[in-house]
This record gives sequence, C-alpha cells and structure tokens, in this order.
Amino acid sequence: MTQDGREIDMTRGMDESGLGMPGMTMASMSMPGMPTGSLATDTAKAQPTVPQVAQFVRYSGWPELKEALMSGRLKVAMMLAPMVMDLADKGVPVRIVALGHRSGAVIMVNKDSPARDFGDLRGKRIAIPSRFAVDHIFVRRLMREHGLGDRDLTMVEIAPPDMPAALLAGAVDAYATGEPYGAKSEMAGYGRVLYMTRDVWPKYICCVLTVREELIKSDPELVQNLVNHVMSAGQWLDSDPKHRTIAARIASERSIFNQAFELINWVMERPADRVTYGDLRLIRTEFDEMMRLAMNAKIINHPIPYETYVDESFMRRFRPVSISIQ
Amino acid sequence: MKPLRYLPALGIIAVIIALWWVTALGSLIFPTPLAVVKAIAELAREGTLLQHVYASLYRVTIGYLGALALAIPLGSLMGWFPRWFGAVNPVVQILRPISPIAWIPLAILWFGVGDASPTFLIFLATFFPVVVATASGVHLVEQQYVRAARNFGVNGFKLYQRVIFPAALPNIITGMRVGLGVAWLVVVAAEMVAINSGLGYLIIDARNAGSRYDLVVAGMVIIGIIGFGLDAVMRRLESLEEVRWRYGT
Repeated sequence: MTQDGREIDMTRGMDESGLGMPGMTMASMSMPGMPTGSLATDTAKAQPTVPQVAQFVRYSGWPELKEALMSGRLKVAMMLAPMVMDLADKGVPVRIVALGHRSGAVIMVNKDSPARDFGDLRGKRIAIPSRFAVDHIFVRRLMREHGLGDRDLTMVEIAPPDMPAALLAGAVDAYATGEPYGAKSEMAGYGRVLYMTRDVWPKYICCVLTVREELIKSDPELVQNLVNHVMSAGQWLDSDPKHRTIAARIASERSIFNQAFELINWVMERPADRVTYGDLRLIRTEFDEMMRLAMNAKIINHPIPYETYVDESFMRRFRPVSISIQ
Repeated sequence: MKPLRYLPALGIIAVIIALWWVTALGSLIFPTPLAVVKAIAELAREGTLLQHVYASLYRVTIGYLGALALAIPLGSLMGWFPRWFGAVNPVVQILRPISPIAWIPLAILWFGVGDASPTFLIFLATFFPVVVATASGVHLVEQQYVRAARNFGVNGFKLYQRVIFPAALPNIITGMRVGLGVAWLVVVAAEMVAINSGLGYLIIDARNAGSRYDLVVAGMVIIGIIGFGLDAVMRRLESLEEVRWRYGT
C-alpha cells in the first residue's frame, strides 16, 4: 500500500501545482501553468518490484500532451477540460473520469501596481497562457463581473514559465496562469496576487483526468483503480496540512515537476485552499457552465453535451483506498 | 520559358501530394491536402491570411536588414584584419550554435512582448551566417586585385568599396541567401513570443486549439511557398552582372 500510495501521490503531485512546463519555451503559448503532466498507463516496468497503477510522464507543453493523447500513444492524461470537450466532440475517443484539482489559478500584478480590483486593469495588458486555456475563461469571467469589454483589456499569450519575467520587465501589467507560476513571482517578491480562484471561483475546474476509451473497454479495472487512487489521494491531501508538505516534497522531485520544494510548498500552504483536491467528483452543472463559458471565450464554437465527453461510472463506483506515506 | 522544364519538379510535387493524401486519410491529426486548401481558403475569407503573412514578412525584413547592417561591416573587419578575427571570432562561434528558442526568455525581458522580441530573434538567427560568410569572402579576396589597386594608389575605404567588397560579394550574397533562409526558418520559433499575428503564431495558436491541424499544415504550406519565393529572389540577385563575374569566367 505504501508503494501504491506513493505512486498515486505522484499523480496528485501532478495536479497540484501544475507546474506545467518547467522552463519550456517551446510550449509556446501553450497553456496554463497548470498540470502538463500526464499518466501513461504503462503498467510500469520501471520498478518491477513495485506494483504501479501508472507511470508518470511530464510533458513540456499542452499541445505535445494533447497530440500524444490523440494519437493513442498516451492512454491517460491530466488535460484541460475545454480541450477534452473539443477533442471528444471531434471524434477523439476520450472521456473525463474525474477532476484533477479545483481552483489553483491566479491573477498576478506587480507588487507596486496600484490595481486593487479587476476593474483597475482597464486599458492594461494581461498575459494569458493561450486563448484556449481555462485561465482565459477566468479572465473573461472577471471582465464580465467588472464591466470590462473586449476593448478594455489587451490579452497577450505568453508561456507560463515566461510570465514572471514578463511581469518583472514590465512587458505586461498582469498575468493569469495556473500555479506555480503565480507563486513564483510572489515568492521572489515582485509579484502580488490580485485574484485567486479560491476567492472568487473556488469550484474552478481546470485539469481533468482523461482516459482513452479503448483503455476503458480493455481494462476497466485499471481505470477504476486509477480513479480510486486519484480521488483518495485528493482527500488525503486535503485532510491534513502535513500531507501537503509530504506531497510537495515528492512533487518537487526532478522526475516529477522538477521545481523547488519551497515553491510547491508555497502553493500548497498559502493558503491551504489555493488549490484543492478534496472534491474531485464530476458535476454536470459545473461542466455545463464551463462549456458555456468556453463558448463565450470562443474556445469551442457550439454546445457539446456532457455525455459526449464524460464517463461518470468510475466515479460512481469509487472505493476509497488508504494512503499511507509519511 | 519552356514549360517542359518544370515538368519534373511538378511531377515530384504531385507524387508527394498523392502520398500525403493517402497517408492522411482517416487520421485525426494529419489533415488531407483538401482540408489544408480549405483551411487556407478559410483564412483568406476571414482576411487573416494576409495579416499573418504581412506580420511575418515585416518582422523578417526588419530583423534581416538589421542583421545585414551589422554583420557585413563586422564580417568585413574580421575578414580583413586578423586581429579582429582573432578577437571576435570566438564569440561569434560561441553564440552561433545557440537556437533562437533558447533566447526567448531574455528576448521577453529585454524587448517585451510586441514585435521587437521576434524581430530580435530573427536578427540573431540571421546575423551569424552573414558574419561568417562575409568574413570568409573578404579573407579570400585574391591578393592580386588588392595589389593592383594599391599600385594605382587606391587605399583605405575606397579600396574596400571599389575592390574588396565587390570581390567578396559573391560570398556575401551566398551568406545573405543562407541568412534569409534561416530568418524565414526561425519565424515559427520567433513568433512563439507573445504576439497575436504571424505565420508562426498561426501554427502555434492552431496547435493550442483543440483540433485544428488543418491550420497548422496550412501555415506550414504558406511558409514553404513564401520561402520558395524569397529564395527565387535571392537567386536572381546571385545572377546579377556585378556578382556573376566570378563564376562567369
């Protein structure tokens, strides 16, 4: 169980701070600082003595991850929810079986910026990971709430790892991204959090556990086991602050996120609900809302029914597993 | 112009398109040639096609001309004065192999997220091939021309202008041709830096979208065709009288 727990914790780690693309400039526009990690269900030959549910593979950018999933080289991935909707709609056999995390996106400004709320960003320049990122949806929602129109804000697309430097250099007035790229400038002292999803949109969904249909058909037990572990690890993470520190330690390893432990831990602790994992259930109304927001942001161009891209059955048959790592 | 001359090239292109079509059938990622043509038509209809082409050509032109303006004088100095060569060449050779992609974070820091960053990356990529070609062109100028000119009392900048530069021009033009090819080659990488237009941006943006690989390949095809056009122009330049003399006789 220890090994199982640890393995899953790796998964968790993945959701947790996202750490998208460490240093990966290629990731173009690529999206969110959010989890670019993914799971290949190569039932791990890496450590033959350890029964692993999945093997963790980090991708350097969303497009690379998406292409690996589309071509079937990858069976399971933590993907951006609107992207999965679009892929399923276009006939790629993928299904969402659980969430990856909730919340975890931030809007950062320079610490000397006079901006106190989103309305103060009128006429300014804000960086987003990509037009297709969920962070873009977050920005759009804040624009609507503060009465900003399309012309009131200039959005530029920058790869999340480059955002802190862009803010420091004054190339942008603010940036929206998934953690830990917000925490990066905050920890370094020149960035200030203007908004966290925890304050205005705590149920925010970004990355979701996505599985190819052939794996669901050929090995439903494996998928069930994976969902059990992912959801249990989420509950484990939110049940005790100590667990978050343990997870940050594991997730910061070179083979996982390859980010400073202090950075991941910052995301885990300040505050503890900056990113949450306790409720990874799929909820239809939330996805329908996300779908409508994605349509407004022109990420998708027509409504996509929930049934097209979700498989709730594994979540319904969820059986908690105990996670026992110290 | 004999149309028959183009037949083999057109034949090869036709075969490649046919193979492409067969390979792409039923693929989720690889679009068919027809889908790509439709995607190009869609861009043209929206009016964004010209916008992307214009944006990329603009950045390439500025970056390229800026590189020429610095690289030809520096290359000339390096080619003519061994001390200059000894002093500058190591730095040139150290910086030359670094991909513009690696410079992206610094480009954002120094030049922000407008047109300047991608232009700088194109400048970097173009600068080194032209420096190296110019230096070697100047270095290889036959000494008899120089001696003859000196005998007639031609010296200093006039010597460079009237003798050395024209003698090195074939090499310089070859370097310029390589440089332009490289400039166009790195446009995709350079346009990863936050901007909202350009053919490189088109490709990157389409990859970020759910499933618009038709646009990705459309961007590739357009870049290829424009690159072909640019090279044709440069080859024209190579066949000018002023440059041909060396090959001619």
